[in-house]
Amino acid sequence: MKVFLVFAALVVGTFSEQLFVGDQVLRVVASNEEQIALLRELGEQVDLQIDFWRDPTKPGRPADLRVPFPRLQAVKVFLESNGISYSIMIEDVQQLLDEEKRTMMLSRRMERSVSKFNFASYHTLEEFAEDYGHDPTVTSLLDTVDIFFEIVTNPDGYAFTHSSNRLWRKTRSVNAGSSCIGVDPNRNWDAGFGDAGSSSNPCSETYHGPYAHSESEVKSIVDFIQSHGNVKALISIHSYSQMLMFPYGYKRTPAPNHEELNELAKKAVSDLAAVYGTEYTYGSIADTIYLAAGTTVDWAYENGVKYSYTFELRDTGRYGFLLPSSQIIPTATETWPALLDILVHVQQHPY
Amino acid sequence: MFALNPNSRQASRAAWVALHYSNYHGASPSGLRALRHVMKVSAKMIADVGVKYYLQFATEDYISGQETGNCFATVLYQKKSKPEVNIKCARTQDQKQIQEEDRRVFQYLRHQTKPITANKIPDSHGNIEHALLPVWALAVAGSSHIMLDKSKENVGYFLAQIRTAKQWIRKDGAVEFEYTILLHKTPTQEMDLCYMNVLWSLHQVLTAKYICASESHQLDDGSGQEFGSAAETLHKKGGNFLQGLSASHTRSMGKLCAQPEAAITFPSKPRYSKRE
Repeated sequence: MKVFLVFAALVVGTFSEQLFVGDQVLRVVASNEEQIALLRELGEQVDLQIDFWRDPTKPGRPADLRVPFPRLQAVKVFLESNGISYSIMIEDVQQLLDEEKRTMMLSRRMERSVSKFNFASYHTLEEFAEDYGHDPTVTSLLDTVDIFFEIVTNPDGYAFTHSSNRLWRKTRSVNAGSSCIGVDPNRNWDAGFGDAGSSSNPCSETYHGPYAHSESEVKSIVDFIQSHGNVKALISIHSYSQMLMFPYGYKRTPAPNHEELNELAKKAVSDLAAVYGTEYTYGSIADTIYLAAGTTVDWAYENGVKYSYTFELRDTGRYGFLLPSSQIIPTATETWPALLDILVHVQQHPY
Repeated sequence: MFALNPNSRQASRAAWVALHYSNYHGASPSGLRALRHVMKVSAKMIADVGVKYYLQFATEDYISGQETGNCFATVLYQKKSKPEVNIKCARTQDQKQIQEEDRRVFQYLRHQTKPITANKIPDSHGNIEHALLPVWALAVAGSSHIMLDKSKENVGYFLAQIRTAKQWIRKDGAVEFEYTILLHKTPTQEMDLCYMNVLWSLHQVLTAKYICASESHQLDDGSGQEFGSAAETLHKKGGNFLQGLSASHTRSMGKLCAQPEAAITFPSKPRYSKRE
């Protein structure tokens, strides 16, 4: 009995080490009829609360059982002591993802190609370039203002989405004292930094970073805007959700220019919808999407840039971050009139 | 009872919760709906129970994007259990056509001689092969169950990607797929990794069983790692559970080992002790 208890203690210790602390699905493979019978009996024990996702049918065929967390040790000890082999589904899945990451790194010998770049922004650039000298609005605009495009604000993050993890969100900075990488660049600005709507956990997707402007991607824009001294509008482009938003994100209090920003957003969204019928919602960040602290537009707004807007482009969740490339040009095409509305308003309302 | 802004996130989230319910319980991969926009929404606090939303919203076909009419729904967010939904949708589509499409898809999947397997739907460029659309639709239907279970008034989900899909050929004529999927969670922006088994049987009953990697994570202190960051720092797989402890987990270990329920309770049937 003592031997068993020691074993149990070891088992408890190692379970605590596992990444996923909850119920598990075990894939069990019985090697003979005797083991099949044992598995069936295991399933019949009501107190173990085992749920068979795939019943044990015959030797060699996997059976899947979901085991509640408090019963895990008992079940695993039982399987081990009876020589029944099993694996843990979610951890196997993690391994699958791991393997995939390795294969991707191995096969990354591709030529750098145009298809990797942000086509939508190029489309906008093209509009400006083509219309200048022909379209009076665009001509007037470019004659009175300078427009700076930063097409990719997180270059190594962007590269990472193509080399390793297509859904990577944050920067790629190393976090001291943590094995998790990256800071959310849209929570790292000095506006309500660290407040609700951002996380202090380096492993979180909305980690705000160790301090405001800790990220070089953010600091470089801060420095540019401050040294330029005459930036009148800032438009930050994201996906997804189909929203056009303005400050504040870090607090629910309406911004001093709320009325004007709201009216302009309403017009822009209406002109966007006129192209293909794509519907956007609009409003302050806090009202429209959620409380988010330390965002780009909040900082810009509080640092002299009255017309600070955030676009969340297509779609509303069906493809989400994995929008089909066939939608790139239509997205850019419909966003163009909305951008123009904002820029023309800025031009006509100098401050 | 107070009227809400139909533009608000709460409104669209509640509408999606209603659609998750309808997409799962409808058991019809050809009849899935997505939200177009919310037309009217109001909410009522119910003391000791939760908040109930009343919604009218426009929908479209999940796969094709074609308009599919309006729905009326109530969504009751409760403290300890999943949201309670009532939904009624106008039938603008030909029901017979949908049923026929379901039958066609069902037969197509059922008559595969080699089980369908696939990775990444949609792929990194957002594309889905035409032949894999039914596999995607089935995952949308199944994952709606997960998303309904997990949704809260301030927490919403979307199916971000199917990482793997694997068909299991069955003798009983049902269609079965095993998926690993990523659910995008708002507002935390986390990607929840889930394993899901979807069974679609002859009489159009669709069931999904699932387990998500972040289940049982009530701790907010970072002892849980999400897909985005976790892919970087994976732990070795545990099939043989006797492994060395790593220093980074001694903190979480303390919390977990304190679980009172973790004590061994061994089945008392004599049959098992025979093997000791």
